[in-house]
Amino acid sequence: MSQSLHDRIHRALGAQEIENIKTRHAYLHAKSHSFEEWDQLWVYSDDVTWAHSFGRMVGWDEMFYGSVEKYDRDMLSLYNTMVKKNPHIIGKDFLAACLGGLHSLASGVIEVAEDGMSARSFFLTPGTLCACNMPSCKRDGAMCWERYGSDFVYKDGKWWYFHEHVCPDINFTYDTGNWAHDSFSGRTGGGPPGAGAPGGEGTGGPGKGGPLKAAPGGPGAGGPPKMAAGGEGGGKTEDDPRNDGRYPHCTDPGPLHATIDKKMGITQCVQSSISWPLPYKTLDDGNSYAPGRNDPDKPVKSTFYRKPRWR
Amino acid sequence: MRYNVHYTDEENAVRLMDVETVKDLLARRAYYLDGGDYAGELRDLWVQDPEKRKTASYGENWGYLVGMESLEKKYAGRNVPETGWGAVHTVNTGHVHLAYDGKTARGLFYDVYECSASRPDGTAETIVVCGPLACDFIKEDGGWKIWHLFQGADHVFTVGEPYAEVPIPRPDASNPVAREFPEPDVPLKTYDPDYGWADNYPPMPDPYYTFRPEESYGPEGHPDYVKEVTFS
Amino acid sequence: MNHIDAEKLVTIWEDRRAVQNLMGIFSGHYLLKKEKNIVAEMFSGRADISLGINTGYYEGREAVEGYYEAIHQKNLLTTKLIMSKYPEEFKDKTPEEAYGCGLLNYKPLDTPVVEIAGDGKTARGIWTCRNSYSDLTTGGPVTFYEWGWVAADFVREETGWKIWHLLILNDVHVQAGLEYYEADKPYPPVPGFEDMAEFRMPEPNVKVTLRESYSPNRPRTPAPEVPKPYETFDPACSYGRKEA
Repeated sequence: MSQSLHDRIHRALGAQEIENIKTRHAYLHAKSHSFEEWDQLWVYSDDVTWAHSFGRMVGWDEMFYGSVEKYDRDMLSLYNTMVKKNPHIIGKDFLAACLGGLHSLASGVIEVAEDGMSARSFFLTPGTLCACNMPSCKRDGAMCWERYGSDFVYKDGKWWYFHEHVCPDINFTYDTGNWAHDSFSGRTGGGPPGAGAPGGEGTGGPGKGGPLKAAPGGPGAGGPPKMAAGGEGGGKTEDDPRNDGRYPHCTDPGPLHATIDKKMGITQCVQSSISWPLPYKTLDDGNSYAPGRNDPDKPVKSTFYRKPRWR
Repeated sequence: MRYNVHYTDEENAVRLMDVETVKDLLARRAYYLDGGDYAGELRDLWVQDPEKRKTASYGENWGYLVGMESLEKKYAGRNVPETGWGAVHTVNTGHVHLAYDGKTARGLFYDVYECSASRPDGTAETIVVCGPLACDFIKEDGGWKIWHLFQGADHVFTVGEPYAEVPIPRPDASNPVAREFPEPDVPLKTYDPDYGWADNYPPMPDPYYTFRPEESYGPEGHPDYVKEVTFS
Repeated sequence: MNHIDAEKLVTIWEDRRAVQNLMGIFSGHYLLKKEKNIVAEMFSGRADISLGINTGYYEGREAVEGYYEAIHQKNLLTTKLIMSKYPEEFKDKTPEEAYGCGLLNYKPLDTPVVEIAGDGKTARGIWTCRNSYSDLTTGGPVTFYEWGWVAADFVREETGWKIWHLLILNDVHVQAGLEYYEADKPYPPVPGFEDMAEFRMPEPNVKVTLRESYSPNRPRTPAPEVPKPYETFDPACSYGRKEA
């Protein structure tokens, strides 16, 4: 492939911009500032997708509800719970004051299409999900390690997030515990809820110590209290098995991926849910983390959520 | 106000590599820290211009050291034991903006590191620390250099001790990172990690035209910093 | 502005990105249990490839291939033992489909410093690796933490950038749940996993201590050498065994 200097520079700057979009997402998500993320980073198209273990949200309406409105509601609910337990939180940024995890990025593979109109990235994210203001009123040193597969498009002179596929693999803590053996031997009541999604009340965290330090597990990270199912514009359908309001509605239902830190994790086969991108010509079904949904210009049909400010 | 900036291909090529160079710089710093070579870090990676050295700064949760003289004495002068000490820093998630005028850059990164130190009884204590790393970089004749650096500690675990048992708030005397931070030249509680990222410090950089001290990661860029001004 | 060779700058950037992509894919091979493909897909076709670990070098193609083949054999063994212990869970799966089941190795790499040689023929890079992986022992699956570095010399070949000399050094390799200076403490044996006691990785064919792991009485030890800008490959600066 022989390209002009100008085109090569465009693609190189594009790859740098992809890094900045991924890191901007990481830092905005650390503050739970979802509105800013969807306002600033995501292309306004009905082919946008966001996938996690629980399923894939498709389209602007579904994704905005699940990732912004529902998430903000869950954060406010958590804040209101904590106001009663820790009045010092009053006046703090209600979105950021409780959760504080940072999905740090490593082992990045970034490819910009030959036509310069899209890009794809794969990262490992050995991230932290630590929090200090949880309903347990105890610190939580949870780690959540995942993989990201992301597509981006170049439109209107700018690079935009288009598809995201999050695959959580393990939850553990660095202070104590041995996640593989603790899960296998059933010492733990389960780790923190999956990253990127509002959680229910925390269950027990990983148990303490190795072979010589048997003790009950500490509290899990927990999450915002469970939200009621249903509600205008979103919520669960009647036949959804997870009809507890914990997860947003997904056009493509899950499970799409599973963590390995559970009692029968030892029988879990290798999950090739997403793989790294290879050099490619253009965004198409063979080079996409959301095949069949590759039109960045697909008109957004819903008028329920207003168009982002600068589009 | 937003800018619609136009660069030639040559200018863009320079900017492309400038961003890579500043990311490199912070990565190189991590390897100095892994060996406890703070003096080498200051010598090789930090500003050289005499005027800029006066305003160089290093900050943590409890305030800032200001001026290269103070950094050399307090930051590089910290005792790193010759035996029984080890560290590995992992620096990642770099969000970098190069000023439109190309003279400075700002970046926010994240550092998750472990540090082990031996105890007199022959055992060793290990801490794992996660926190933001924010930096102003400046382009000098000799290349890009670190000018203002902020290394925050969001969470500090002691291996073997449940993090859940660390009190909220945590007394500085019980925080291994706080105990190591020297007497600051500008004492300031820069942010409270017990409330996540609610204080929004250090802030993520945005695109910017040119360096301004009140936007920097030095003390003057902190919203609670008070600058004494008289007009007489 | 002095004359800028924009072509040269962009080429350097593209090469750096290609080397970083290669190492991202390197991590991915461990994650997806594709270690058996690493040498063929990622290493140079040269005979003088090498892999260095804390206790020495696997020097030469045969030794490096032997190392990764051993990992593949271990994956086959763990798969067989797990399938045998839980036949109901695997009744619909072949051993090939279940290959690598039950265990996870992340090997995330960050803190990159990459230098492309002035002559464009080689490159050098270093990353830090903060790993959490699970391994099957006689006591069942066990997590280990690794804090260390991965460094490499790379060579440009017709099919792209390839690993020439690889160095994987750990400052800390510890069983999760223990203090970072403690030796492993095996869990009580679990029926069905006894055969794991017999498995051994091959020893390096050049035995030399490249790095002593952390201990309370270890002298302070700097990180591996970080690449500096260079014009052409010098064996005296290699991440393989250095020649005088």
